[in-house]
Amino acid sequence: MIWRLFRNLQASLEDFLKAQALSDGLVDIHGNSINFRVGRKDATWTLSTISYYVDSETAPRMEIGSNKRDKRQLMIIDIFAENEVDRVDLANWVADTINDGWRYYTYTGNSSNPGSPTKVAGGLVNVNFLTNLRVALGTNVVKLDAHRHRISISVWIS
Amino acid sequence: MRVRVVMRDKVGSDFFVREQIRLEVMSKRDTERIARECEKTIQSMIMEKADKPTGHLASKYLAEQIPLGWGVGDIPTLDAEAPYWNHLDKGSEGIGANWQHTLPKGYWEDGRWVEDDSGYFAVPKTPLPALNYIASTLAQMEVQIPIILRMSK
Repeated sequence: MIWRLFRNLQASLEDFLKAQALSDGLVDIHGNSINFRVGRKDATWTLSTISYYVDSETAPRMEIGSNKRDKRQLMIIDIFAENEVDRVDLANWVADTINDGWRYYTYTGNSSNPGSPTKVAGGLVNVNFLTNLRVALGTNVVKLDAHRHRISISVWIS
Repeated sequence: MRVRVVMRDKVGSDFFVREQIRLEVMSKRDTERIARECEKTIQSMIMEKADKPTGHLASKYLAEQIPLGWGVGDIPTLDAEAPYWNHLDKGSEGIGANWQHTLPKGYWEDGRWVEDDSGYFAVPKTPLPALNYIASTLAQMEVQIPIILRMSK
């Protein structure tokens, strides 16, 4: 089954970030590799984790009377770090890495091997940064929330 | 928005001053329109995205004049009157910085925690999901701002 836009965007970003992390030798302050996850948040995640998902879409008409839409998706990227050093470094790495966009792929599920869908390259995902901030939830927060950073981006495919 | 000011010999400085005042009035009006639209947008985002919304949080997001123009959502007011505003936006395991994951005394009613001194303490078992209402509002305003400015006369 062919995946649709939102899943493709999430999976494309995951593939891109994982490849970049590998080539950049991205590790946390202890030299451990970083986890990459699609999804909102899960208490079972271990630090440090970078998560991402499509939240919503805006689709105004390109012009009056046209059914062509200027579709833009809101993507949320959360960075769950173990300390402030990792939080700021990972946030900077993510912002720099996605600044020029990434390749969009259309995925097709592989029933015999669900973990390895086939993918076909499409256009370029363009990025507009909306926010890039520490998530301040106070002092008495769980470990997963203590050093958290959020980058929200508006994306579109060209 | 493109602004063009033309100065002519015959009209002189008076014309320029009038144009300046007109532009100032227009930009103030546009800023207020954008703030009013942002107020509506963030309130509707909260009401649409929240589970069983009461409207309390949404009602705290108001457009108001500030020294440099207009703003929506005064943080000191939100901290005082709806202290969970940030937790709901970003999602959180706890529901308040000072509550240490224990709800104040109260009881459950129709899926909501009602504070009551004669009630009991409880610990929330599920995290608050992130509503992302602020980022969603920003994304929506990216569409709305050009429309508002286009309609400006």
